[in-house]
Amino acid sequence: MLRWLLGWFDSLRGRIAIALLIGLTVQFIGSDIIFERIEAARLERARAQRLADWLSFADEFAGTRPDAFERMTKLWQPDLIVRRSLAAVPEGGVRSDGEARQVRQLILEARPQLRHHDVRATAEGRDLVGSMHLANGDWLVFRAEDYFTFSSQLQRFAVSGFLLLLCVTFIVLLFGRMVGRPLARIAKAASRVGWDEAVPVDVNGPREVRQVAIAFGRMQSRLMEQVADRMQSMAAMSHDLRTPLARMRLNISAVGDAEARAAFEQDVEEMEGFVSSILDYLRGDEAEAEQRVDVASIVMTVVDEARDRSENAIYAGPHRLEAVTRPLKLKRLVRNIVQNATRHADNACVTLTQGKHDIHIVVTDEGQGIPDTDLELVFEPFRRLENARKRHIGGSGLGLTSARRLVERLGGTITLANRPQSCGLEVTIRLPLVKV
Amino acid sequence: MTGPSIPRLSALGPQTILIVDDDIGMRRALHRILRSNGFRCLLAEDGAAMRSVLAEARVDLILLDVMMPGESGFDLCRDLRIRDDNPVPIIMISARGEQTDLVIGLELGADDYIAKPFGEGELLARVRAMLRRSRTPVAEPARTRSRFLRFDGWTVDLGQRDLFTPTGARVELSGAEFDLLLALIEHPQRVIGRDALLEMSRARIGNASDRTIDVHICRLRRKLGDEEKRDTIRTVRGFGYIFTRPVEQA
Repeated sequence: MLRWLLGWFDSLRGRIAIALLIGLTVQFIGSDIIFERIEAARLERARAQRLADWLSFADEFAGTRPDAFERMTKLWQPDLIVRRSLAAVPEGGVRSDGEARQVRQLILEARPQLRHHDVRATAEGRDLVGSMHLANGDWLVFRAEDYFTFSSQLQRFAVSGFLLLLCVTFIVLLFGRMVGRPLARIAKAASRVGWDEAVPVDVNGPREVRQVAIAFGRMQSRLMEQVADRMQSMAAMSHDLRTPLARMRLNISAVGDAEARAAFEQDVEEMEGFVSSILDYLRGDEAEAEQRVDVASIVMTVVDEARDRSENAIYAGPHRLEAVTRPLKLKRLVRNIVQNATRHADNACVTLTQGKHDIHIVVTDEGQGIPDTDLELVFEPFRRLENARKRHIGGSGLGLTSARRLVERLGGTITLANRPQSCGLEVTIRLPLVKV
Repeated sequence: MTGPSIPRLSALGPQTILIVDDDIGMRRALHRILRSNGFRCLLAEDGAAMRSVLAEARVDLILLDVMMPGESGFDLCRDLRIRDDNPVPIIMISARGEQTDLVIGLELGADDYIAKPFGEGELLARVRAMLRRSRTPVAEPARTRSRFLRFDGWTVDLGQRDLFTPTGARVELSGAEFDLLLALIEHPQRVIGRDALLEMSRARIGNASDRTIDVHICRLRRKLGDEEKRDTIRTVRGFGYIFTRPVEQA
């Protein structure tokens, strides 16, 4: 939960939401304070007006009947309690109570005739207590209950305010998604560039994001062009090399010295491997129909091929495993991985197993493996690790690149991992098991 | 036009091989190897040259490159078979070594193919096997061009060189395995010696020995699900193998 929340805060839309939330809250509170001020002034004036009205009424009404005070109190309950008093209470006069003094001022402003009645007032908690000299000589003491309560607007609107914030958050999240999504898509595309064909990037979202998308697209196509150029020249070279290689192969037998002949053979083989791996890579895109095939027979054929070349390869798995796939691509893929293993580790063990929804082809070797940091790098075109370079093992640096391409055409995945205790590499190919 | 049944007198002298390839280096290399192994060679760099050679000389075998500018090897092969009705054995030299190339070539009437790049050993094995086959008509069995053969629910597509399981899945076979299977099912319920098998499987098996035949039979059995019982392809001890299931054409 915490992780999810942190991740959320980390995202673009999360941050936009937070920024907006804080801004809105400040704005909300600020405007509340201002409005409260204005409203309070208005209310105070109105209240003072009412009190002034009452007091002048009391002055007129006080002498009319004996129970006048009781009646008045009853009439105005619970706001105003009035009683007769002989002395002006509180006798200390109006304390230096700013608010009460202001109230008195307001009362006098509302009813200027009350100036002659020696109106005094003081705050007692939330009540306003005061006295007034009546025209008939009596003193009137009044207590206006809850005169100073201003119910906070903030509290009153807390629920609706909260709801408003919720709405805003929701909307921001939605908009944030509009901003964040294209960016996230660009990031995703960027992480795939390099070992695959062009990744389409949608140009949408806000202007800056669109600019990023366009720039990214351009950068990508430039990169792809470079790789394509390289491929093109490699392909041209490979095509041109094939015929002389075929000639050389035939002419090797004319070499008298057996040692030299073996060396020539080795060289020609290496070059042939190089050429065919490039052509394989280029052929990875060729269309091929899906077909119901015996996957086991394909894997076995590849392993047998290796054995015929006196390589140390073994197969462990069923003798039949039927699935719908593209057989030529699958064969090239398995051959590619097995060759990789025999080339770098001089041995390969291929296991084939059927899962519930997929087929696993695992090729393990007993070589040195590759550094963990390079596990992803080796899929890049023309990437050859230092170790292989040093050992002068052939290869074009396209083997795993075309393997990954083939796997994708087959709708599967390929992963590399070092076996525990660094006793070799394990390549796992997962293919969807489509049964018809 | 040379009579279709006449040019089988080759046992009398060195056999003549016509090399058709546009690449001069390739022609020279092939020429050198074949000549030093006792064959007589004629060279042609394109279709026109090939036709003029064929009009003048008796040829026992044509080595025909597929990829040539102008008329391709496929075109020439089809013309020879259909227009000229010439039965001279043809080995196609396929540029790519692709299954499709080989299937097209065989459907057009070529007798065998060899994929570039190939070495001297492979070339000589193919050439010798082909010449031997064309000399002994026995090797050409009842090839009534029915396209499919069936046994035990399994189907063999002769045109596409494919094998299908009873459930309809294509089984991947190496070239040698398919040739072996073909040799066996074209003579069902007959004992076939290892030597005959080697020959009939078109020498696609490099440095062939009896042992390698056994290895390929073992692989074939595994793919046919016959490894445990060894019942479909039975071993005849000390001699060869027998395909026990009845084979029907379809």
